[in-house]
Amino acid sequence: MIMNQAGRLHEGFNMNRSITFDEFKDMIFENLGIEKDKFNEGSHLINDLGIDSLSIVNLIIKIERMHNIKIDFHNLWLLKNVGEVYNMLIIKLNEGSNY
Amino acid sequence: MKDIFIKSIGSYLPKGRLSNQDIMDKFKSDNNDTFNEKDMDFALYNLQRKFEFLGIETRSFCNNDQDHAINMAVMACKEALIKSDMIIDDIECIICSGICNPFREPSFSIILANQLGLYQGNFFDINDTCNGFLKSIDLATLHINTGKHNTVMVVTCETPYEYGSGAGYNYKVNTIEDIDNVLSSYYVGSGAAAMIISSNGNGKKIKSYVEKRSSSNWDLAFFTSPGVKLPPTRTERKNTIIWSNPRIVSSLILNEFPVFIKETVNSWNMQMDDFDLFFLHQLGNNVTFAILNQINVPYNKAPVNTFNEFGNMATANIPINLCKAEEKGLIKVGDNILLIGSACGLTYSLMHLEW
Repeated sequence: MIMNQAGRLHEGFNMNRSITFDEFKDMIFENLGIEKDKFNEGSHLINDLGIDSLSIVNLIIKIERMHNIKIDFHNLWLLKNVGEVYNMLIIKLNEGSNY
Repeated sequence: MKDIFIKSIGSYLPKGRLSNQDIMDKFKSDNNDTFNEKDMDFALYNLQRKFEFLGIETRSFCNNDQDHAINMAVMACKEALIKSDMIIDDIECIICSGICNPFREPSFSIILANQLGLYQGNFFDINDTCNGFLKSIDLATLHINTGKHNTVMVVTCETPYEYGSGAGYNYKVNTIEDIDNVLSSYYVGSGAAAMIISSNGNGKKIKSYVEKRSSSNWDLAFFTSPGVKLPPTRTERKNTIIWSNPRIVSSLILNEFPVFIKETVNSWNMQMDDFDLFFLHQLGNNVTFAILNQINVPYNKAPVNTFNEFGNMATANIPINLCKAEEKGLIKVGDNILLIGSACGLTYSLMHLEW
């Protein structure tokens, strides 16, 4: 497990990330217009930020193009907070390209 | 209050299918002057991936002269009549709904009644966005409860490509970001359904209907006539007959609707587990499965989701899926069924059926 039930990132998690959490926050700001100081990894996507899964797909599409990978959308709608989305992305990035 | 019975339900789907590639080819053709090669490549990739995320593969559409709005409705009504072992003269009232209703005067229902061979009766149309079919059932039950009519046929028909073609709709966008605002028009589908409702019968009953409406978010999604003038809106709306802010619409639906569903089921003195089957409006896998998750309903209790093949058929989604479930033998006698509708406005609606 890389996160607890609240979606907090575990301190010991140090996989070879291709995107830092701060860079991920930048992407959310640039693509969805949400100020970086208004959210953290525990922020609820829908209740706190009004972000639906289609908005997350927009981020994913850009990351896919940047890193030449394809990310499985299966059960994307189950992700509840920013940390869960970030952790999912890091796992997929570390899995590498499946093109 | 009288018991209100469902005598039968019929449906009709046109044979034509539009693939994701068909839509992407049309998009490319309509936007060749807008994007350079690199941006077009990204725009098409963007579309392809969103179709994959939503779970759509094809959309139903009318590909021959026989498949048009009136004919499709006639076919659905005839199927409902055959299934109920009734004749058209048994019908006292026809209520038609559909966001693609091509008729202003005379009404769709008048023409439909004539084509069915019914020359006297109460025939009228309603417009309640994608909630039109459930609202028509609600009105039918009111007519039956007041003794005005004993038997009503409720009909829906959606032909978005026929409507869009006539209205001059195309796939033109100004920026890649605009795609999301018109994305809902890229997965619409065609279909028709009819349900016969009566004070006489046994078995299938309409138990309850509840709706929740708010006008405060009226400007989040539109399907309008070309050139229509609107009051001021909170966000800029590009010049197109169909437009939405999907991010806010779906986050509102996912934030508010599950709460409404749980509260309503509780108000009926029922538990979610009491329901055997669920039929939801078809907006894509993301909304369908997120709602089911939030109300703690396993996916196998919503076994008919036709979005992948037919797209979003607006008012026709729920009745066509209900009809398909019955044809496949998925509904058992005595099953409690929850119909879950949502629509622009915003509107949330729930109908409890006992089969």
